Formats: sequence, structure tokens, C-alpha cells
Amino acid sequence: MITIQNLNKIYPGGCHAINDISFTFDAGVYGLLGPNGAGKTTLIRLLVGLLRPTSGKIEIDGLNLATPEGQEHARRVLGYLPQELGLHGILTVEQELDYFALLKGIRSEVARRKEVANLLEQVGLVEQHRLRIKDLSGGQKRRLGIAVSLIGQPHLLIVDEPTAGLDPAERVRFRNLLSELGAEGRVVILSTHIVDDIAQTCRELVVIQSGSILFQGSVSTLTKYAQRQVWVTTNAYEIAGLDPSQLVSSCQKEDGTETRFLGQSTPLARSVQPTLEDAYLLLINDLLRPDF
Amino acid sequence: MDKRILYYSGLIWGKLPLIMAIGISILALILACTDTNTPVSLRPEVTTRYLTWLGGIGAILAAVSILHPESPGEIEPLATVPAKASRLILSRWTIVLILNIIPAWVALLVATLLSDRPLLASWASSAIAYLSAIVLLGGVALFISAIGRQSLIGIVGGIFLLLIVTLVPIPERFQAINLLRSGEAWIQPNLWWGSRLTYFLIGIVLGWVGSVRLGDFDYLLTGGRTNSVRPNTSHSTIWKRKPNSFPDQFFAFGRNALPLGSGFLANEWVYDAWQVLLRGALPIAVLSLVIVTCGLACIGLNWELHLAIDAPRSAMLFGTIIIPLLTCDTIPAERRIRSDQLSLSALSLPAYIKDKISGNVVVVLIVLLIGALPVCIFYLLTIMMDTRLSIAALVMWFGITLPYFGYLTAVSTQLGALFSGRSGYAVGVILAIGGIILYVLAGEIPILNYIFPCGPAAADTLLGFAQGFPLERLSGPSLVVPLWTLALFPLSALIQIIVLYKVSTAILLRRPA
Repeated sequence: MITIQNLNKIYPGGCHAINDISFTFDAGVYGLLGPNGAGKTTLIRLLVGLLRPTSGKIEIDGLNLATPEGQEHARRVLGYLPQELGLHGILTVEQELDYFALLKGIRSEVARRKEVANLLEQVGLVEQHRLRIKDLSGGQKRRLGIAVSLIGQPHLLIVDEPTAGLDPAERVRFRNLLSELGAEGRVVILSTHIVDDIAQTCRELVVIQSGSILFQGSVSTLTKYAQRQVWVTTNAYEIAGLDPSQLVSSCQKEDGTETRFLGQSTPLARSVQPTLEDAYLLLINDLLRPDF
Repeated sequence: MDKRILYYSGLIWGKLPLIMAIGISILALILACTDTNTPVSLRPEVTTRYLTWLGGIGAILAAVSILHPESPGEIEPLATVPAKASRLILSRWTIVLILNIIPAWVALLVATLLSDRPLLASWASSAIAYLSAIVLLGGVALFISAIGRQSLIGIVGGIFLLLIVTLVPIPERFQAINLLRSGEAWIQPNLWWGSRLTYFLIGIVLGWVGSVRLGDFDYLLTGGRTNSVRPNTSHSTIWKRKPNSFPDQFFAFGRNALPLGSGFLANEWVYDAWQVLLRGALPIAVLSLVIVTCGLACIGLNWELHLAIDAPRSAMLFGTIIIPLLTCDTIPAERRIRSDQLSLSALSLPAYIKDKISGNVVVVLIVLLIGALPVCIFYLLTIMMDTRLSIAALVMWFGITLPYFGYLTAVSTQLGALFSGRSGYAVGVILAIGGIILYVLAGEIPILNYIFPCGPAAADTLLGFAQGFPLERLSGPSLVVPLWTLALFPLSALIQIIVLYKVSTAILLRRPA
């Protein structure tokens, strides 16, 4: 379990990257959603101990991350897949896993071999285990990255933008892998700005913007808030009168251009079922109804 | 530290230093063996000097290659492993030092065997001299790159130290403290051993402090609690930042090479060069300082003003290091930051490289002209009574030093593009710096002086003629070439640039940006 209390991070230049954030992550897959520059990566780096908070507290399994015991514990129970994988192209897949297993503190060679074999099986890289990392495809490297982060069977897993640059099939495969890991009783935090990944994988999500939490709750709750606020119209006059921040998409249909938009309705528009993306856009554009 | 971790560290970070060390040792041996001016008994001493100079550069490059503080991709994977990051860095540094030192010790042993000196005593003193120098230079580079959170700053700092110990004159009675010498070991043993121990300890302490700093992720990623350093912003967001203030630009040396323009989009290298000049206050200042320092170093402690004529020769030595540092990452950095724009640009890759070379060469020449003015006036005043020296000084500066720097700029720009296309940005730039230094030093091998009459040999020749060939006054190991070969220099340089241009564009065109 991760508990965050009144967390703040101010960079030396004065940028307030994280602004008084508090919440708790229990078992399950959580989405961390926000636009570019919202503070997702800063928050994640604070959670994994890469950065020191300016104020506030992070506890992992009840141990304060600011203390040596807390850091020691965090490094043992935490798995982290950063945006840039930092893999060593010269090593083979098997050697890379063996190296990180050593760094993770698995001293016994037998235990390491077993761990590496299990991980290769889990991420589907058994056939590539003797390939050099520089010869892997982008998707295979991502899977190897997740295998590295799973060394030592961590019960907290934090993944930062894991599906960026993957083709649709690899993305689906990766999402399923994360769902499986979450179902095994781990805390999995998935940071992304790809809303579809969150919708398909997570039960709960946190939306942050400018370092502050805008929403914390279930995916269905956020979607429910968007009910009767997502509309479709084909009327050119109505479309011309819309504010650009309301527009979601335009699609050419047989009877003209069908435009999906958010917020206040227009006389000829019809209501449609909102998606998580609609709800997210309403939230970050400050268009949700005041009762939200 | 687990021996398996050391094995993997050697596998990942050891290959490059090992190849460099073997190459450097062989080159130093060739240089020593072919130096016919040196008595056989002094060969180990001469080899130590060459080796320390070349191996020092190798140690500096290797030390900063074990962790690039500017790259979050290398820092972040260390966040969640229980092994202490500073210990990992220290073990990597130890490995690259060992891999640097062992081939050099073998080379020194060979040099000692080729001489007629007592084997053990001679070899031990040169081996210890080498060890202390390499630990010091590597430690300084690691420390500076950690504090400055940038590999290039570490390289620049380490190489500056090497140049200072090379050029700053030391009084004869204190020669035993000279970092590059081992021959004084038995003349002034206390001073020699004391200085070696001091260098070794300073290197170890700085390396250790640098390793601890490199293990402080908050400091590396954000500048930590100090206010003196910039936030580590990714290149994709650089365009969003406010323009740097003038002092910030001034002290930005080492973060990038020459500041980048964007003339390639408009196919205007003049625009590119102009942008570089406008924003490149520090390169001008550094080169000016270098030239003045060289002049003062040549005049020496006895203030023999007429020796200022050697200044262009010393400036060329400095330039051999500084010009590649300034220019070799211009193309790789631009290709990394603007790969999308480049792929959309109508400009072909060969034309782009040609523009970049032209822009860089023009900038370097302008910077040199501006930077050289004070020292030119200074040394012309000191030697104006001697017409022969005055003419030689002018010819040397404008006929040899400037074209040599232009040639060096063109070659470094192309080598930077070539190596980075193959190995990625950071490794590529480091390889390019090492490559260009070895490439230029190869010109110091006497037999190559005729087919590769590069600047230093030409400068020595002219200096020799101007001074009526008092060769003992000339620094450097070059064989002085016949005067008529000076005419070959521009031709040879031009052929080399064209061949390299053809090769680099042909290779780069086969690979995606």
C-alpha cells in the first residue's frame, strides 16, 4: 500500500510541480492521467524515491520513504518501468535480467536462473532469451523492461508511459499483461496520457493537472459525471458556433459532417453515451457541471 | 561487490576503454620507438609522457562514459535496486581504470625492455607515474561531470587539466612534481613519491565524491537543493524554455558544442554561422584565453619575450583538443533535436553536412581572428625588431594555424556525424572526440608527416626555418618536414576532407537519422 500525505515538490527554479497531493493506493491497477507537463513523471519519481519531496510524506507499507529503512524497503518491494528503458544493448535478454536480479539482491545463482526463466515465460520472451537487446523490436524491449521491473516479485509496480510507440497488437498484449499483474494482488500504477489504456486496464484513476489532483475515483464514476454532457450534431451553423475547447471529433457521414462536442447542448444536438476520453476532456477543460 | 556484477560492468562499460587503451598504448610505443632524437635509455620516460597524455584522455573519456548524468534513461533504472548507486558507479569507474592501466603497463614494460635501463626500477617508476596520473585525471573528470551534471563538462574539465599540466612551465628544481614525468623518480625521490601519492589521493577522493554525487538522483534530475544548476529538461521541451540570459549562455560551454542555428532548413550556411557567432560568446572567450595563455606559457618564467613566436604552435596543441570538443556534436545534436524537421527538409543529407561544415569552419576562423588579435599585437611588438621572426610569425598564424583549425573543424564535424550515426548521441560524440585526437596525433608519427603533413609538423618546420633551426628549442615530437612539403598541406587537407565527406555521407545515407 502507498499512502501520500500533503506532498509538494518545488524545483530549484521555483516551478511547483506537485501541489499538496494526498491519496492512497491499495491493491489493483490505478491509472495516473494528465496532460503533458501535468506532473505525472515528477509524482512517479517521488514515489520511487528518485526525487526528494519539498514537503509532505510518502509511506510504502507504513514505512516513511524519507527514512533509510523506508528507502531500503521501497527498493525491495518496488518495480519501476521508466519512460526511457535504459537497457544495455550489448547484453543478451538473459544477461540483462541476470544483471538486474543481482542488483536486486538475488545472490543465489539457482534462484536467479529460476527467476529469469519465470520472467521470460511471463512476458513471452523465451525464444529471444539469447538475442542481444539492441536486436529486439520496440515492443520486445518494452516487455523486457517490464520483466526487469518484475524482478524480485515486487508488490508495487509503477509503469510510466509503457505503451508509447507500440503497435496496436503489442499495446493490447501489454495491457493484458498489466491487468494480469494487477489481478495477482499487486498495486500497479499506470501513468499515461493515452486514455484508452486506462479505460481498458484500470478500475480506479487519478487525474492530475498542474501538479494538483482534479479527480480521484473509479473510471465508471468519472464517466458517469459526463452523462448528458456529450453531444453530436450535423448542423453546420451549430458547429460553427461551438467553442474550440468543446470539440472532440468530426467525422464525415452520408448526411454531412457529424461533430461530437462537450458541455452545453445546442437545439439540434442529440446526447450520446460518454467515453472516458470525453469525461477526461470535460474535466481538464473545466467544462464539467458545477455539481461535479 | 559481487564478482558477477563486476563482470557485467566490464562487459557493458569496459569494451570501449579497453580498445582505446590498447590502441593508445600501441600508438605511444610507436611514437617512442620512432623518436630518433631520444636516447635509448630515455625511451621509458618518453613513452610514459606520451602514454600519460594519450591515456589521460582515454581515462577522462572512459570515466564520463560510465554514467551520463544528463540522461534520465541511464539514471532511472538504478532507482529501485537495493545496491547503492554510488557503489555501482565506483565499481564501474574502478573497472574502466583497470582496463586503461593494464595495457599501458604492458606497453611501458615493452619500452623498458627496449631500453638499457634497470628493468624493475625503471618500469616501476613509469608504471606508478602512469597510475597516479590516470587516477587523478579520471577522478577530476568524474567529479566535474557529476557536479556539472553533464558528460561534456567533465571531458572539458579533465582535458583542461591535462593541458595546464602540459603547458604551465615548472622550474627545473621542481621538475619532480611534473605529472607527465617519471624520470625524476630517482633524482628527487621524496618530492617525486610525495607528489605521486598526492595526485593518487586527490584522484581517489574526487572520484569517490563524484560517485556519491552521481548516486544522488534528485541532484542529477533537478539540481537538488542547489540553485547553481539548471533543471535537467529533456530536449523535446527545450523550445518551450525562455531564452537563456547572457551570463547563462556565457557559461554554457560544454553543454552543447557550438550553439546550433537552423540555417539548414533554408540552405543558408551563412545564416547558420551568423547564429552561432551571435550566441557563441564563450567559444570566442575560451579560444582567446587559450591563445593568450599559450603566448604567456611560451614566454616562460624567465620572461623571454622572443619565445612568443612559439604561441601559434602551442595554440595548435590546445586547438587539437578544443576544436573537436566545440564542433563534433553539432550535427548529432541537431539530428537528435530536429530529426523530424530534417526528414521533412528538402535539403539532402550531403548538402546539409556540407552546409554545417562550411558554417562551423567560418565561425571558427572568425573566432580565431578575433581571439588572436590581442596576442598577435603582443607578440608582434615583442619581436618586431627581428624582421625574419615577424614574417615567420605572421605566416605561421595566418598560413598554418588558421587553415589547420579550419581543417580540424571540418574533420571533427564529419567524424561527429559519422560516429553518432552509428552509436547514438553520447557514445558517438565521445568516440568522435577520441577518434579525432588519435587521428591528429597519428600525424605526429614521423613517417606519416610526409603523407599527412598536418599543422603541427608544418608549424615546426616554419619555426625551425625562422629560427635558423635551433631544433632543441622546439617542443613536440614531430619530425620537421622539408620546407617544400608545406605546399602539400592544403592539398592533403583538402583531399582528406573530400574523402571523409564522401565516406561519411555514403555511410550516413544508408542509415535513418
